[in-house]
Amino acid sequence: MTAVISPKKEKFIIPIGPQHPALKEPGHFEFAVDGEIVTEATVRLGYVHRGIEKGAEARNWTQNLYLVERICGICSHIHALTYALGVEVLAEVEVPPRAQAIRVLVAELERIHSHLLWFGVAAHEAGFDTLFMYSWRDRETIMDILEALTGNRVNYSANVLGGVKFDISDEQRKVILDGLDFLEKRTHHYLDVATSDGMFLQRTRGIGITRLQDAQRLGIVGPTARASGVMRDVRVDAPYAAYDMFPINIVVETAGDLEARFVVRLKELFESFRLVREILDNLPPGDLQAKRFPRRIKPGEVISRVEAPRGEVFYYIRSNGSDMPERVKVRTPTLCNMASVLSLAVGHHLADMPMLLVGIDPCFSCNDRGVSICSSQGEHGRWTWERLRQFGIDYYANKV
Amino acid sequence: MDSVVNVAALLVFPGGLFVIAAGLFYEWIDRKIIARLQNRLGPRWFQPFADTVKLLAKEEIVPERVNPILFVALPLTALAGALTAALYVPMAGLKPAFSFPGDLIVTVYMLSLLTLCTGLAGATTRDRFSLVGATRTLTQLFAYEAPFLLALLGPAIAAGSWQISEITAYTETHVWILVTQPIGFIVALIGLMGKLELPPFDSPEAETEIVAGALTEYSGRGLAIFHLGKGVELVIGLTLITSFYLGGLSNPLAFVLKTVGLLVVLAALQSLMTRLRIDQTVGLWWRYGALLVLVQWLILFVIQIV
Amino acid sequence: MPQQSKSTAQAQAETALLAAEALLQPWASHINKPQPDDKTLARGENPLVFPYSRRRIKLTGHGRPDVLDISLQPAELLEVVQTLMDANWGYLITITGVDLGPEAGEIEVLYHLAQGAAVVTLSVKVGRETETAVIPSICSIIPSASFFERELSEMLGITVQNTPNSDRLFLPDDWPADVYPLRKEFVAGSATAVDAQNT
Repeated sequence: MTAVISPKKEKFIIPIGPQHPALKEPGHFEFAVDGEIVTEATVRLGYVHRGIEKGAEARNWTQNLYLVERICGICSHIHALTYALGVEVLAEVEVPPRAQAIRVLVAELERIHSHLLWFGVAAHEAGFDTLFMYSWRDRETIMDILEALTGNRVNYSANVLGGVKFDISDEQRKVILDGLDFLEKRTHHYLDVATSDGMFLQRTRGIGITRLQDAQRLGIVGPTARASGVMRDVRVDAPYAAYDMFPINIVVETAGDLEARFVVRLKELFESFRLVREILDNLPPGDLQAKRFPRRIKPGEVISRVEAPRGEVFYYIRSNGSDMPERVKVRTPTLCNMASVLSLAVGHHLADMPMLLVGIDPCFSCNDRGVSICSSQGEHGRWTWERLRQFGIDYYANKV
Repeated sequence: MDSVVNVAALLVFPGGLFVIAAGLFYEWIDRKIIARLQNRLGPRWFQPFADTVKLLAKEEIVPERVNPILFVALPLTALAGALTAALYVPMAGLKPAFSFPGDLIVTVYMLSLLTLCTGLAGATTRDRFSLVGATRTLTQLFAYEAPFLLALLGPAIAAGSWQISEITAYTETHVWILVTQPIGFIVALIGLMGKLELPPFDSPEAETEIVAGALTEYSGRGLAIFHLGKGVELVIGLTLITSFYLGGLSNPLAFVLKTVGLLVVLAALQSLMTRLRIDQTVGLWWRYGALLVLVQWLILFVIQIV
Repeated sequence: MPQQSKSTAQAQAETALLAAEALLQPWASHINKPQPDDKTLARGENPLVFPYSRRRIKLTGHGRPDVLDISLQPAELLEVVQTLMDANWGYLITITGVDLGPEAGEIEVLYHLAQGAAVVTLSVKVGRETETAVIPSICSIIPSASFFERELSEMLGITVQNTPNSDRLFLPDDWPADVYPLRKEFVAGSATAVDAQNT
């Protein structure tokens, strides 16, 4: 079964994206296939560039909090949290423990929402739409909780520099606990499906295996790395916010295949449920915000690392003494994991591509965040077949 | 007089309008049940009909570098094949409009014409998704076709005839063949799912990989006609399996009850399963499907000899 | 229990940093070791401050920082990265490029490596001109650095020598050549698209 479109022995390339039913966000992948087997894979990013890193240099510290929150819709809180933690260190502002606990609470709720969302999308990519519909129905529970807490479903805007905006009332506490009880029951069911449904396992077990040394070599982060046995979780390695008061247990699988990635993420949900309950029961007393936050921040630089649902988010913030940052560098987990998809793709079936792609839980908005906005004029550039082909050949020829 | 009846058989019942309407209606039942099983509301009863009308009213875009005659003729051929097949089956529990010895084989291959046309349509459009979809469609055709036909021949052997009307007459008067040939029934049912490219055998049109498979480039009228053909095939497939395995179709009421009952089973199966890769589909059919149906035949022969 | 986990993470970070410092002995003169800040110590706080730039750094606990800073020449970079990787010390988080502006005439490139809570930052300064903005690729040692190096070169106009792929990663194909968005002189929205067919 070979499909050759011209006698010149050109490769048969299946493009996925930027507009494609498999991708909910724009990214462009080119899979050269021999029949059903992928022989080459390349990626083109940057479709959701918004110039955020550059934009941050022209906004003041407070404005930037809201800017970085808009880097990603799924892990918006994480970005704001990472930024706020970094800036607070730079400004030498002590954040009250109650605020830190509430930050962690929202972060874990967001992780639950993100993992459930991912679970549904992954099931959909596998062609298991029933599971997709059910998991997204259940995800509404957590969305409602987040909305009840923060007033928003997506950009929660829970952080301010030096604290959080809201407290947790007794009614909200009850809503959260009820929701978690329901979700915990459902998650047990999903874990059961993901590890015992024969047809589903045909699409996940033994597919896309990343060995421990490959995971380390490629610098994979987050649940994808933990599914390959890499013991790496910023919440454990470098506890931030209130993770030192409420420690988390690291979830690691060793198989490294798609099934392991399902299991790691679903088991992490149980950790999140436990942690949220623990925080609600032992919420430290005190203020919600630091007394005052300086408008200008002394020169300095800070590294802020946080474990997002997809892996480690890294912020490098440098201040030059003014009310605006000199440089804000964002590194999101998807960029690290993207390389693993490309190297995994070769040798797998085309039908496994959406699953592999989703296996790392890609977030193109995070990934691209962008540096500058281009006022486009004239025709947009198009790659010729020849150039694309050359790109692929060069990429792999030079790759070790 | 005869010619009037023949024309009516071709255009109204059982060949033309009736089976198309039935196809749309069955498609709605299928979609509705799946939606309910997936905790969704599902479409209203006229939705498939509205979709078809909308598509027919839309512009049909013929892609560049495509043979326009082939592009237009393929969906028509596919629908024509499906409608012809409707003439030989006991539609609505009545006697088939036409009948001759061996019409079972003709019917099954008239149904395959649709799949073949889909594959060719994908191959002519030169779209990359279409090409992969076409390859998969045709690969899948070779996977399920033989076991499906063999499964339908089981009742034919029991009845001692390869004529649909005679087999139906036999099944109506005997115990349900489902009871005597359960393996054949399962293979036939799953074969029908493969034929209709329903989940889990929907890798030829797996949207997360190849958008819409072979029909990616089709729009407007061509797409609507392919769609109608699918609906007709669904009705005929259900009719064949019920009349062979579920005690025949002696009257319209039995037809409605049995075919809809079978459709509910199909819908439940669809919503339960994950899409199979094309290599897994082929493996499933040749490793298990074909083997199972041969075992069924062996049992059948042994019983008949004894 | 809570305190324990904090102290474990901190103790591991301290061990990791000591190990890194030992590994980097040959370049010890380049290490920017933090010094206690007398002024804040007097107020009962304990941040440490880098002497050369008065950078303030984050503390995980008391007394020791969780970062180690080292300034290198571009030529020394590969050797240092190789030393750390040979010893299996940490992983590369990312590469940050910071334009220090036309007056300083330099671009600072920061390689962040982490092991647990410990972060080692290798700082390399290069010029802003086409001939001087050159840095060696570390992809031969750390293959996953490819994306970071592509981003660095398209955003700041730094030539990364021997990098396996120097194509654009984020910027559109019709982005004009020689316009680098993260340079200080670049004003957002000022670039216009060029016809990619002609470039």
